[in-house]
Amino acid sequence: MINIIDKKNRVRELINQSLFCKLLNAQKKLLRGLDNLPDEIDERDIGLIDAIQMIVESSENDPEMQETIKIFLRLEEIKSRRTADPKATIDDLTDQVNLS
Amino acid sequence: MKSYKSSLDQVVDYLEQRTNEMRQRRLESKEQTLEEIATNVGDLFRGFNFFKEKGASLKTIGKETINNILKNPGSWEDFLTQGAANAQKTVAEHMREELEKKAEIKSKTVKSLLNVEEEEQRLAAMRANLEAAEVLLQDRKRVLTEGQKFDTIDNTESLKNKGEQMATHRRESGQRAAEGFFANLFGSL
Repeated sequence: MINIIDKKNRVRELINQSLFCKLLNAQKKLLRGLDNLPDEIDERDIGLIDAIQMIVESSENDPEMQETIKIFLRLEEIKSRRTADPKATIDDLTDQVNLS
Repeated sequence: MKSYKSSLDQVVDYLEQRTNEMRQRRLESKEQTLEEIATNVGDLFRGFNFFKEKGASLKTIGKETINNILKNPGSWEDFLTQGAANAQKTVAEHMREELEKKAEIKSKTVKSLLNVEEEEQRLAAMRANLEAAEVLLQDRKRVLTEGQKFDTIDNTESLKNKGEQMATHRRESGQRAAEGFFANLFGSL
């Protein structure tokens, strides 16, 4: 028998660490959905949790996609840092992004 | 023969009825949760598909935006607005292509008309998003042009104040534009 609680915990962890979910602003609503999901759902519905896992893992395993996601997350950081302080430095924010 | 239920029987009946109602309610809320999750997973998949299909263009836009900001940090808002607008255009392009693909496949069956109609509604919503983005861009352009006018006029005190107001307006406008774009950038996927 599938242990639904373990599965939920595993996917919860994946969502929390996923840059893709972060960029799409999807973390909160996916986590809320998981939390509200009863532990006694049937196997057909477990497919939904599997689908989340598959999509998130696929995005993690695609280096090109990861790079693009990181670039846009940097841009978001630049925006929030400069919004708070228009003169804030941003050079250090680009260190982890390959700009060539 | 007429029968009367004892008070205890009535309580048992009541409890049974309430339990059924609550079970029903729980089932309904479960359905709601599942539907919500299904929608969110669908959105996630569309986002994934978009990054798969348009990743290269998106990456170029992102890199250009960061490079421009590094070269000219003072104009970061303008570059961010421009970058977000370009990314939004990529979203629109992707949606159009997906729609065309679907229309092509689905035109083979009559019942697909309903699905296409749904997609058209999505597209209409996306157009509304793009129009809102255009308005923000126009506003941004207008503010920038007016800002430049003040730069060239002699710096009297009143003009300086107006210039400062304009700078604030300019900053707020840029912020609004950038926030709007980033908040909804992938929302229409």
